[in-house]
Amino acid sequence: MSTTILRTASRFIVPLGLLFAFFIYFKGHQTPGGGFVGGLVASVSLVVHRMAMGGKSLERMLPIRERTMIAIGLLCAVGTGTAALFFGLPFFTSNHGYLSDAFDNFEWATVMVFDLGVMLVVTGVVVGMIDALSIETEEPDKEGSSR
Amino acid sequence: MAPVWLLTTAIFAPLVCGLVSLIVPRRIIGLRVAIALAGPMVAIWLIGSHIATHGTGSIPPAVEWMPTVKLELALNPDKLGLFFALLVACIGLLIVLYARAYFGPDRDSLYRFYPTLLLFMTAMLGVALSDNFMLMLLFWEMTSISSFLLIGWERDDPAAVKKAMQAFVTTAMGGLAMMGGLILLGAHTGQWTYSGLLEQGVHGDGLTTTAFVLIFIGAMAKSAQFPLHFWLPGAMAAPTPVSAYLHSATMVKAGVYLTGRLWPILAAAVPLWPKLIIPIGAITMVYGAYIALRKEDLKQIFAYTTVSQLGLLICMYGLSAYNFVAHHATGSGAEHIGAHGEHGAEGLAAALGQPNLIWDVTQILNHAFYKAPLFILAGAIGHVASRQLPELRGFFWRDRTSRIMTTVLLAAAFALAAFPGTLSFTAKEFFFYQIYHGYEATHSAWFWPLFAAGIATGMFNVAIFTRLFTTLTARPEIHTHVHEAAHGHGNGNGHAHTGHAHAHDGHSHETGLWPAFLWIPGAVIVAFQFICGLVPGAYELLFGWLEPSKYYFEHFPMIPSFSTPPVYMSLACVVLGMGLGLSPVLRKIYADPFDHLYPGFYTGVTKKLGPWAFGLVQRGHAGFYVGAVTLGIFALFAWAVSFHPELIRWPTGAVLEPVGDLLPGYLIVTIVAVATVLMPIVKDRAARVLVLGTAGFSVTAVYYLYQAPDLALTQISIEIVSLILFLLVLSLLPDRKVGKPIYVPIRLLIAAAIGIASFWLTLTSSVGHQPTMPYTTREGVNLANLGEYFLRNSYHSQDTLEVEPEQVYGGVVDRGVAHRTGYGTPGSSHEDAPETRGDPSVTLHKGGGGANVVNVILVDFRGFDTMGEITVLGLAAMGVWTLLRRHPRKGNHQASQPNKSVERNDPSEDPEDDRELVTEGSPT
Repeated sequence: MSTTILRTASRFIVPLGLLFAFFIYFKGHQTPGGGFVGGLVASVSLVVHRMAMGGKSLERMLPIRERTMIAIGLLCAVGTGTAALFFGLPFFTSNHGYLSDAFDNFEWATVMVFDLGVMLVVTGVVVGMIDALSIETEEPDKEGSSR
Repeated sequence: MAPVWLLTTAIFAPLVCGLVSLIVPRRIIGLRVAIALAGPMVAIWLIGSHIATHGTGSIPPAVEWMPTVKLELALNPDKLGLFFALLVACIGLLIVLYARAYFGPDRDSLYRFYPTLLLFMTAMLGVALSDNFMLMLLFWEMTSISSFLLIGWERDDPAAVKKAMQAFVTTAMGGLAMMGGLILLGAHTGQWTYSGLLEQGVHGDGLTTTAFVLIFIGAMAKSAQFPLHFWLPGAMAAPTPVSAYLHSATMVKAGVYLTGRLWPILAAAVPLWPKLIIPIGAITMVYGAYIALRKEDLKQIFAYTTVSQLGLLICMYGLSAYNFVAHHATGSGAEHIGAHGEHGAEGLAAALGQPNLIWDVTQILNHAFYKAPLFILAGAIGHVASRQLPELRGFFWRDRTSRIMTTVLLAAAFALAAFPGTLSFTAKEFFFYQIYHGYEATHSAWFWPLFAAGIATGMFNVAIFTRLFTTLTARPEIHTHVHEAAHGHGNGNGHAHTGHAHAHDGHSHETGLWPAFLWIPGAVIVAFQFICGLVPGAYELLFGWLEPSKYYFEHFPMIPSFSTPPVYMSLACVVLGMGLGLSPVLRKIYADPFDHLYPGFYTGVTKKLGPWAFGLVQRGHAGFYVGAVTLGIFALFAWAVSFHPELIRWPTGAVLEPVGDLLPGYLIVTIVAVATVLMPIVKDRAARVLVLGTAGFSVTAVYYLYQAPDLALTQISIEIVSLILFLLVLSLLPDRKVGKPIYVPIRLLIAAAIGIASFWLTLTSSVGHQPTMPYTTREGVNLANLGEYFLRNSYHSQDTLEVEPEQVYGGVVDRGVAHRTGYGTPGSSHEDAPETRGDPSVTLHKGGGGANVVNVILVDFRGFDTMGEITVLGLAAMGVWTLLRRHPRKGNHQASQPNKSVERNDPSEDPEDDRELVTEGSPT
């Protein structure tokens, strides 16, 4: 699948795709987007990278393994819920507020951490599954690669 | 720190320390032990500081956790709870040291052992301190899980894994019954905490009785009561530190603890309490002691005496249903001699009308004080020699270590036999007093068997001591290769324990200080037996403050009165027991017939019922599954229609738009329809995937057209990902000739059915009647539907100003006044006008704070669902990896090798990788 065109294009597609993923994650609370979609977009970019550059390159690129990504994501999600307990509020009570004028009154919300967790889990699951399946298709022997 | 947080920290300190210990590299053992020790130490320290500041009575205010399922962080540090927590932490501390000596320098075992052990400690502390039913259930199940992990310690040994499953299934099924009982009790009484229920009191009606029976089944399973006792001797497959800790001193007492928690609430109110509990406890007590006498493996002997003692403890709580009454022996009752001479007047006269329960926590503590040492020494002796009694003949005379070990073991067994001079003696007297007074209260003939049961149990225990003593101190015959012989035996007894084949036995024995910790923890614990038994006032001083039910004796008595039956019962125990111990009867090994109960059940379920159900449901044919699911949906639809025929009416309220406006929609839907029709016609798999993709991408266009950008964005990403996944999976499938389609008419029928059903469902759900919401607008108008509620509350709460905080849906509550300036609401039609807000007298409830309703629903209103979904997603990925990584990576994935060393410290690593490491790294 790896052609010169794809390899060249992926150098632009992948960073832009990741950037876009974070963009829609951050904007998700106000405009269409959110952690789930962000995670999907990010994983599509990473999968494109894998298709172009191969599994080894993807592994080098990712700072953490996919399973760690899932673990951190779940911790984020559970942590957001648990954090409320420390303020004497029920599990998953959320809060939000606004940054100062210097930040254009950006609205923060505790659920953003939760959303980040969703994003990490989705990315980890999709990239991890596709990676595992791709290894399976590449691995056995080279004559099977024509499939 | 608030008390509830202080205690929560105490509960979780061991778990955190266990996790931290995973960061330490495997070869560093000293630091690992230090960190593991820190867990129970911090717990003890925090609990101690709580006691110092708040005493033993106050119940800290609860913190809400999940109000909708009644789960709250409610702790109950009363005497019973604190006693259990301290017992767990203190014995845990010694077990950490013992485990270090037991596993020796086996770094892989220690690496894995401490986190699991400390997880259990946290779970058990949680059970002890929880006040809320749901919270306790959480911890309760955690103890089952950690017990499962520890029994199945030798995870390559199928027998050990089987025993672990047996223990887990038995206790977890009991746990389910208990969950039902506690929920029933909570729902029936409206109180979800023990303290609340105690304050409110219960009526002994049918529902309460049902709840009690269900809860007691859970306690029975956990505390190994007859006939569910079989799992506990089976659990001896675990390493001995686990047997000493979980399966004698702490976890198996959880059922006793629960009964102890409930007796003040239920014993007097539910007439069934004594009638159910006393017989079960009594049978367990005698049966366990009898089997124990007829075992040869030290751990099996002590396992069955544990069963016996647990029966005694349960029986003790059963007797608490009666009260002390005046009787013909009142005069002698008043003559009981207390710990000090001046307390002689206490006793029955003061106890009249009180529950028939004498120093119950002392009984539990007493058992821990001799049973944990027995197990510790059994493990120690098994470590240096053998655990089979016949092979230990004359073990005392072997060498210096063996003399020390035998002495400590026999000291603990001395307490097991409840000879005078031990705490155990007084405890057994207490129990006999209870039987005696129970008889005085009822004069029921049913108490005569109970008297006999009490004496028989004591007799068996004395006999066990006698046999241990005579065997271990017998003049040795010539034994040159006892150590080697120990490895050959042990499995020939027919009963299925295989604890003997533990890997640790193969380790070279250490020199230095650590081997002494094989017996030091046992000696420390058993010392309390004799200190409390011999020094007047010592028990009172050390542990008396933890005793919640000082009925009958205001102070801890030492010397029995010779004018009441209990002391003669003890005498009978000793005489009969000595005789039995020395006699040749009951010497043959006897296998517990109940050992077959679970294997029979297991075989029945997995070999008969399971395959039958599996064959019924899992046909291995995708067409069958799809057909079953779609027909099921249609059946549900038809069922609903049969009750509400108006569902299949053509909705009248719908307003059709002009055809011109709908034209783009029609076009796209046509593409979807064509793609759908093509699906069964196209034969090639890859082509089918592409056709399916066409339908999916067209649906994206529909979403975009009808202004659902969120859905469109998600759908398009999902389509891409699933296309890739489909193609990957298809390339893995073997080539298969697509034959001529069969059952075409039936398939068409099914397709038509599901088509009609989903069409009508869509139609009715979009224009049909929807239930109104309980929420009103400021003007008092009911909200039309849930969607409107979400719309109106996702950014700011517009409608709920008058609503009580607990009614605010989605949990988004602001207790102050929200001020918002600037920052427009893009595309939002429901922006709050600034002048309607800012009135500080009104408590304003914030909305989700997001203009994108879809996202606010996902992460806020329905955040819990989302959390569940991503958890499932993560689990699915784990499943895929486990299935695919059967073949180790090789060739082009060497890049993963350097990561391996990092992975070893990753607690989330999957078991398969771990197993790989064990085989690589184990020294044997």
